[in-house]
Amino acid sequence: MSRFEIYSPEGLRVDGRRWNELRRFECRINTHPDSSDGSSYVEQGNSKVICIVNGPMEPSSKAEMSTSKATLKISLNVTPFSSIDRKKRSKNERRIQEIVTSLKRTFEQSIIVNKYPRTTISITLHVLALDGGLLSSITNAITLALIDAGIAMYDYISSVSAGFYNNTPLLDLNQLEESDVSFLTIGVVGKSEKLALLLLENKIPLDQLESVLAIAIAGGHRIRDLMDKEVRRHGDLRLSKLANK
Amino acid sequence: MILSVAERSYLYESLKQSPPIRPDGRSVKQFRPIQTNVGFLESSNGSAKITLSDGSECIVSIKSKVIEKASIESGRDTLVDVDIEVAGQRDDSSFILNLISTLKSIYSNYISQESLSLTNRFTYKLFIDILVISNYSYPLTLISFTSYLALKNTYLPKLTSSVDDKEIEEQPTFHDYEFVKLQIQVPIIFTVAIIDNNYIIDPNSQEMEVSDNGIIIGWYDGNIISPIENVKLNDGNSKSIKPELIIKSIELVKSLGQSVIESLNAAE
Repeated sequence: MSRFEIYSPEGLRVDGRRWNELRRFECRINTHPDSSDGSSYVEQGNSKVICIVNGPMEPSSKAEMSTSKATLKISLNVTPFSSIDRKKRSKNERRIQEIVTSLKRTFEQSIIVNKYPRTTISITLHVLALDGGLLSSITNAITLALIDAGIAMYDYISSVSAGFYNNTPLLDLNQLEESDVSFLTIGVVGKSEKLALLLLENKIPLDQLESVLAIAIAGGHRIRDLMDKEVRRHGDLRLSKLANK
Repeated sequence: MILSVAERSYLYESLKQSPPIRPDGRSVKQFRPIQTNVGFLESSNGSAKITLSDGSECIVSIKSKVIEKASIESGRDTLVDVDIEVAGQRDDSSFILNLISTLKSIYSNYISQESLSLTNRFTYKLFIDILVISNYSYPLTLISFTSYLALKNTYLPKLTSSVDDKEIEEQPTFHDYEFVKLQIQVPIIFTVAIIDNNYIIDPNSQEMEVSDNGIIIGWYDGNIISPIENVKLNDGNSKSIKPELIIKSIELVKSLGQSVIESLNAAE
């Protein structure tokens, strides 16, 4: 049993949110215009992620090249200072590798890869601060950076986590909640109810799964709107610069 | 950076002139403009970010831990630990290991034990974690400037228990929310590129590519310190350095050091 009251009888969580409330979500695109083709910075609660996209470009070795589609290269760097207690994580750690694999599978389906044959798209992620929602903040950062790089995608992939605790579904868990609550992470395709990503590592009762998924999808749509707002803000900025020339 | 024969010879010839004509129009002792940010990581005791005009970017985080002084004396632990991650480089490559060992030795020599001391038995240990997101030139100067800013803006928890715990065994206790700014002098490292009879500070990637050789020079509190050593700034055309150029480069760094420190301090 946790020292913290995960969900109080009054309906409040450890950080004062209600069950269906997201954490503060802030994002920026085109943060590293000089050193990359596309870049983004996402803050989801206290988690902070930088994403750098380079490509589509010529692959470094012919072996990685596919004649029919672009190959994705994802490198995830969880910095040792991201957690409260400093902890050095290797890139070859199983957990990191699993996340990279699921991201690769997600984005190979979401990017129109057959538009870019014989190329590599390299995605580098740096997690500067981590307070739960690792997979979801990374997914959102990649989506934004790919859009900034001008890489063709079918739609936004917006990701959020949701858990199930004491007969209540909880949206967008932080680190404290993640350690006590069984939860899943989804990636929603645009405004639809299609999922491009679903990761559930613990157990959620089957009859409750639907309610958890429903609130997660609603949260995903909200995040999509927030990301779309930033993309449009940046687009307007670019356009005004063009118009002034 | 790949240069054609014509580009290479044009750059080399113009940098050979007296005074040298640098591709971005800087003078011999002029740095590229930098953009700084400090204290943006809440979970670290200190943090800083520097972005250079060419897009090179470095983030440094300072974290602290309370350790027993006895473990340092016995050699089981060190006062300062440095870790570097450069995007696109393996963390066991000789390039990274060289950077780590240079920085580790310079910081453990020049960060004083007293400044981190807590009580008679305990001391703070600093973890300096460096993340280079992108770099186009030799990153040591960028790293040392960013670490300087981070260390100068590090806040450690305030001790509330007594400093003298030799007689009575007691664990140090800290104030709930008050922090004390770390007061230390921090060394920095300069990079000088040698081209024929000329020496230029803070070479950019083009200048590095055509340079004959490079020297890194440490600077601390008004004095030149070790490391003073040559570094490979490009693959291939490295030539020997004339001894008088080493002396001249050191003089150049000596004349610049204080003004660089002042402008970094102003960035806080």
